[in-house]
Amino acid sequence: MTSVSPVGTRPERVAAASPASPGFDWLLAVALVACAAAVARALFFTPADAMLGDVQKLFYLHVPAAIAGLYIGCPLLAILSIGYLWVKDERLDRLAEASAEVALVFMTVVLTTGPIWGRSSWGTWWVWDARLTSTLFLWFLVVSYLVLRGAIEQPEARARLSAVMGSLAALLVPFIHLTVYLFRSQHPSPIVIKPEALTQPSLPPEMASTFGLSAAAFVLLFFALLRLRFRYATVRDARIALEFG
Amino acid sequence: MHATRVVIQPDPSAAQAGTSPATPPMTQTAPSPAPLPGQGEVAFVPKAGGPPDTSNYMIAGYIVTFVVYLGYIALVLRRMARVRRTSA
Repeated sequence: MTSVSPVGTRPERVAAASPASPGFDWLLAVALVACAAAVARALFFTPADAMLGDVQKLFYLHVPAAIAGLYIGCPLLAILSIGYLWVKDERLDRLAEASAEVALVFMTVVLTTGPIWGRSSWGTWWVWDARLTSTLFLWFLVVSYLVLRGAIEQPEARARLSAVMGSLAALLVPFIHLTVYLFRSQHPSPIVIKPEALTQPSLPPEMASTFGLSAAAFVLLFFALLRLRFRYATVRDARIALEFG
Repeated sequence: MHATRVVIQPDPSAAQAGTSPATPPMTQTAPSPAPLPGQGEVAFVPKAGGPPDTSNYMIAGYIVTFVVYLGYIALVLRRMARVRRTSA
């Protein structure tokens, strides 16, 4: 990368993005403790499903990862991308980059725990039904967003073109959510994010409370990773500005 | 994924109509259709013989998840340390 951001990355942001003790992040530590607590509760204090057995406990990883990656990360990417196209603030571009990468991590968890669960309960690792295929398509879309960012050296063009692509990413999310209603799908219908979730809950209290804790913990982890990744991007861009500016 | 529902009590109205199943209630398992009002249901109850042993899949899923999350955290911290080292 040999060019400098035309919008100007201020060197003082290096100091602002660097905590007093490098390498330690309180929010990340709290998130990791919360995730460990949620996993311990899921593994040791939540009953197994009568039909599926222990593998049903992947529910407490799979669904929170989908909530964080698909329902928070991708819409955030789109909102920040649109925001960048509007106000041309480099911080929005860096935050969009961070949200895409962190969302990709969470979607990777969704796409790996899902087949493991499917192998046990469906008898196959993968089926090309609408839910799974569209989620995989979104995963490739986010990968291509990050590849695009790496392929363009001119910062302003990189930010503008990737913002256009990022703003389109969120269009798939409602479609993915509705695929189980629109198509005949092997994937079960939503049991948490649905209109009648409060009046007719699909989970018993023990499982619902564990799921709530798990969802909160992994959403917290998402934002902790987002913050960490944004800090990295800020320090990186400030260093480039110092070297080449 | 659904929490599988297991019917433990036959529907009284079905029993009166002569359609009560012959199997004992505790061994009658079925994926749930839409629950009828007043029908006794719980979300999980031990079957005769217990659920299948799928703990290996569960362990594999948890290990993969830990590797992905912790690997990513290590990657970002490593990148951050490298940038700080070069800018110092």
